[in-house]
Amino acid sequence: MTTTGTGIFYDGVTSDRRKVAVEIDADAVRVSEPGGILLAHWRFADISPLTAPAGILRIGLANATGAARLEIRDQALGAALLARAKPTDRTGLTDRPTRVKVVAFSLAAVATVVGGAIWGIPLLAGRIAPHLPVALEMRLGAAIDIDMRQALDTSADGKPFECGTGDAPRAEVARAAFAKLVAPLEEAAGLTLPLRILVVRRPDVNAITLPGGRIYVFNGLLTKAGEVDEVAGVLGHEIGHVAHRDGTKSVLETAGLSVLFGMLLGDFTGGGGVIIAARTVLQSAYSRAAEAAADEFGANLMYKAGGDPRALGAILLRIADKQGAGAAPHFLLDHPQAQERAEAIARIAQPSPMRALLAPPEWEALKSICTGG
Amino acid sequence: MTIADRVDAAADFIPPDTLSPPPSPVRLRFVGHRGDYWRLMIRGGALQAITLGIYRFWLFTDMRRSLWLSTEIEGETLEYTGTAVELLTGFLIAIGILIPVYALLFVASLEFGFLSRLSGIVAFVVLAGFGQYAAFRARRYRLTRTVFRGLRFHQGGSAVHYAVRAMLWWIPVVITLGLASPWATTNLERYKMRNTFFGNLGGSFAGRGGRLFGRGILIWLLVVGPIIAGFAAAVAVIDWASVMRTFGRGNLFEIIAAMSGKDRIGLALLVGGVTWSILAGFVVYPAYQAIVMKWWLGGLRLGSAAAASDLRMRHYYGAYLRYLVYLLLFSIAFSIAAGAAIGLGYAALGGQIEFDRSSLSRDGLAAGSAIIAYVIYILGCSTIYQVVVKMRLWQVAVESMLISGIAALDHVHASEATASAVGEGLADALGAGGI
Repeated sequence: MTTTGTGIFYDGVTSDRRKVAVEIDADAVRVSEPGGILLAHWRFADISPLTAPAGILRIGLANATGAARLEIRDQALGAALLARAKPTDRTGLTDRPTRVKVVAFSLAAVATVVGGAIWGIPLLAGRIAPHLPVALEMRLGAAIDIDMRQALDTSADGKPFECGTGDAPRAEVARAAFAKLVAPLEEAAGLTLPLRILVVRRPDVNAITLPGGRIYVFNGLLTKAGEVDEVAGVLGHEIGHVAHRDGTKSVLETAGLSVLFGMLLGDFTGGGGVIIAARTVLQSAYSRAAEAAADEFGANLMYKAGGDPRALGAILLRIADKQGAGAAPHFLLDHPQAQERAEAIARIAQPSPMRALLAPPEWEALKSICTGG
Repeated sequence: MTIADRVDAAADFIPPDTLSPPPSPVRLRFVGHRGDYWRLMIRGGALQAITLGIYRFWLFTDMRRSLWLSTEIEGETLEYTGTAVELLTGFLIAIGILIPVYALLFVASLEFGFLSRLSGIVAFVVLAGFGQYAAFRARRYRLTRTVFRGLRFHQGGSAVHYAVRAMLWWIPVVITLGLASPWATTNLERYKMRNTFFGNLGGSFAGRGGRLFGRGILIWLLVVGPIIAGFAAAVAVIDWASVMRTFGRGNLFEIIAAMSGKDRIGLALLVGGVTWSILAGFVVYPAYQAIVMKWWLGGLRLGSAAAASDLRMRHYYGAYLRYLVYLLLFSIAFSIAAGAAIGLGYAALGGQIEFDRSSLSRDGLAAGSAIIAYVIYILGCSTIYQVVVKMRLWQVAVESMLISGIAALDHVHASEATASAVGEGLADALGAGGI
C-alpha cells in the first residue's frame, strides 16, 4: 500500500528548494522530482522528525552529516507518514519521558552534590590539610594577612595596628608579660610550626587565627577579660585551630564549595542567593565542628600549662550575655552557643593543679599593652 | 563589554539575504507565538529551581529552537539542531579546563605574595580573554547548529585571534571612555561576519564605525558627559588635601560639615553628575540598544544579499515599559501570595513551633522560606524579562529586516563543518553566554 502526495525537499547539497512527489510505502519514504527522477529513498528506521513550525512535518536523516530535509505541509500525508514510520525523536527534547528522565537525573545530581558538600568536602579538606607543607601554609597565611590587616585596621588616628611595638619601658614589660603567657601554652601544644601571636588595636572581644600559625588577639579581649586565665583560655582555643590547621582547611573548604556550588550548580537567575545561603550554612556547620574541637584542645592545653581550663567557658558566657543571646540565628553562628560550649568545656576540664599564669603587675601591664607606649 | 556584547547576544540569528536592489526586498517574518514561549519559559524556570540550574541546558536549547523556528525568511524558517546534551558535555569539559586555570591563578597569587593585588588584575585579564575566546567559539557552535534550506551555517577564523583582537580593542575603548567603541564593534563584527558562511556563501559586514558614532554620540554626551564634567569640576574645585584631613572625623555628615563652601560645591557637582549619568543611563538604554541593533542589522551581508532594518525605537521603549508594568503586577501578586503562605504556615505550625523564641526549627524554617521565596521571585522576574523583553526584541528585530538580493541564497552549495560545544560551556561557566 503506497500513500502519495507532495512536499518540499532540500537535498542537503545545495540550497535549492524543490517541489517533490512523496511516496510512502511499507518501510521507506521515496522522494522524487515531478519528472520521476528519484532524489531520496529514506528507510523509516533512519528518519527523525525535526522541529518545525506548526502544521508542517519536517523530517531528516538521523546521524547524517548533511542536513537534507523533507517538509510535508499536507496534514493527512504527514499523519500517514508518522503513523507508518513511528520515528523516534532522536533529538530527545520534545517527548515527555525524556524530560522526566532529565529532571530525575538532575535531582540525583543535586543530591550527590549536596551530600558531597555536607560530608565529602570537610572529609577531603581534613585529609589534605595535614599533608600540605608547612612552608605553603605559612605563605598562604602571609597572603591572607595582607587582606586581613586592611580589613581590620580601620582606625584613623595613625597609631600602629599592632600593639606593644614601641620602645617605652611599659611596652617592653607588656611584651614580656605576653611572651610569658604564651610560652607554656606553645610548648605544651607541641606544634610543627612557630606561632606568631600579636595583640591588635581592635575594640571587639575576639581573637582570630590565620593559616600558618598567625593569631591576632584583639585588644578588646584583654580589656574585657576578668582574669588572665580567660585570655589564656582563648589563646589555647586559637592554638587549637593552629594545631588542627583549621585555617588551611577552611581555605580548602571554601574552594571546594565554590567549585561545587559556583560552577556545577546554581548558575541560573536567582542562583546567586541560593549559593550564598548554602555556603553560609555549610561553612558555619563545618566551623562549628572545628570550634568544638578547638575548645577541647584549648582546655587540655590549659590543664597542661597549669591554668584554669574552665576560664574559656566563663568568658564565652559573659560575652554572650552582653550581646544578648539569640541575636543571630542558631545555625548561622560560627561558634556554637556559649552555653553549650561552656558545658562541653566543663565536662572535658580535668581538675588541675593550678598556678598563677602571670603575676598581678604583669597582668596589669598586659591589659594596657595598647595604651602604653 | 557594552556594544560588543549587545551585538554578540544578537549575533545568534544569522541573517539572510540576497542580491541586487532592483527586485523588491523581502521582509522577514516572525511566526512565533508568545503563549507558547510563556509556557516554555515558566516550565523551564520551575524546573531550573528544583534542579538548581542543571535544567538550563534544556531550557536554552528549547528557547533557541523556538526563536529560530519563529524566524521566517521567504517562507522558510531557520532550524536549530543543537541538543542539550551537547551543551551539558561542553559545560563539563569547560569546567575541566577552568578548574586548573583557577587553581593556577590561586597558586600564582600565593607565589607573588605582596603582589597579590596585581595578581587579581592578571586573573581578571586572563578570564576576560577566556570569555572572548569562549564567545567566539560559542558563536561557531550556534552557527553550525543552524540549518536553513537543508544547509548549515558555519564559522571559520580563530577564537584565539578573535580574543586577542577583542582585548587589544579594549585599550582604546577604555582610554577614550567608550568613544572608540563603535570602531571596536565594527572591527570585531567584520571579523565575525567575514568568517561566517551559509554553505559556501561567505558573509561580510558593511556597517561603518563612523555611522554608529554619529548616531550614538548624543547618547554618549547625555550619559558619560555629566560624569566627566562632575569629576573635572570636583578635581578643579575641591581642595583634596583638606578633604582628606577631614576623613576619620566620623560619619559622612560630619565630614561634609567640616568642608569649606567651595569644596561642598565641588562635591555637589560630582554627586550631581554621577546621579544624572545613572538616571540618564536608565532612560536612554533602550534607545542605545535600538540604535546599535538597527546599525548592526543594516550592516549584515551574505554573499550579495544585503540586510536593511527599519527598526523603530518606540518598540524598544514599549517592551521595557511593558516589562516594568508586568514586574509591578507580579510583585504585588507575589507579595499577596507570600503573605498568605506565611499566614497559613504560621497557623498550621503554631502548635508545634514556638515562634516567639529563637530555636533551630524556627530559624531554619524562616531562612528556608526566605530562600525559596527569593528564588521564586527572581526566577519569576527573569521569566517575565525573557518573554516580554528578550523575545519581543527578537521579534522586533526580525520584523524590521528587509533583505535585498535574496536570490543569492538560492543556489548555495554545502560546505560542512561542525563544532563542539566546549566554547558554549566555557561561556556558560564564565557567565559570558548569550542565547
